[in-house]
Amino acid sequence: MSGLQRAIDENRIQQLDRVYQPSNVGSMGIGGFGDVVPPFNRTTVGEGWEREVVAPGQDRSIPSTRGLVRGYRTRELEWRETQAHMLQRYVGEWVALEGERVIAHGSDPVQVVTQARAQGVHTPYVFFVESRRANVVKMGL
Amino acid sequence: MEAVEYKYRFPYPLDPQGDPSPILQLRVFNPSNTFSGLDIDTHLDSGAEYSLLNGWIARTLGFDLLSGNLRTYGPLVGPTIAGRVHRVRLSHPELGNFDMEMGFSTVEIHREILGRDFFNLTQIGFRERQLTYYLSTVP
Repeated sequence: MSGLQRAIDENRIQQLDRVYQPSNVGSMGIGGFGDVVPPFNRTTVGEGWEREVVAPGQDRSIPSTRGLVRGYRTRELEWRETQAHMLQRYVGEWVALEGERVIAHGSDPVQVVTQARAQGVHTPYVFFVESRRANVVKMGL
Repeated sequence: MEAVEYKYRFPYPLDPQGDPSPILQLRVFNPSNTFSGLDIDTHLDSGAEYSLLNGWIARTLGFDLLSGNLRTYGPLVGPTIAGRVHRVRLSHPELGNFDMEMGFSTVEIHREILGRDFFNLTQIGFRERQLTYYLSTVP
């Protein structure tokens, strides 16, 4: 437990929980702070230390031009951006996307790659569809 | 003050959840077999000392995962992660090729991480407010 967390007693954590904003949804990587993740919009931690933290996305401009640098899978990225809802059926799975078509999916990524290659795609584009969890944000390791 | 010039600009692509993220799409190869590679989303992570990809990727590239040298990753919290190191080629149609010693996780992870060992091969700058990063291939 970090020094910051130690400074927060249980009552304070409950207060923090009450000011969490349900709109702040994301996911995180390996490890995390679970329910004591402070809200984006307002952080109130400890006496005498209050400040507002702006929510990601609220103050940031979505770039008007995409695909300035063409990658191997620009077409798939564009499809993923415009058809994000289509991926919801694959939450918790690995997906091989070729053009605008899901050519394989499942919980075993090696099988997904094998199935994609069996269809003649020697270098498939494979990614994991994470589930959205409330009050969880992304981080690296 | 130094001024850094960048050659490439990358607006954050949306990840599968629909969130803009500092993702760089790359093709990863086993240098001894460049016929069958894998296209992956890598997340640029300046907080990671070394890059880490899923171990299953190594298998699909023809590596014997556990034959690689051990590299232990210390995450922010929780137990360490044992990675095995294999030499790979990362390829991008405009950026070119990057040969590097890549760590492959022996446990499944849900995001592929490009850390500071990759940053050492490039020059990368972030403008989070614009959801954009910049990259040059000259470190």
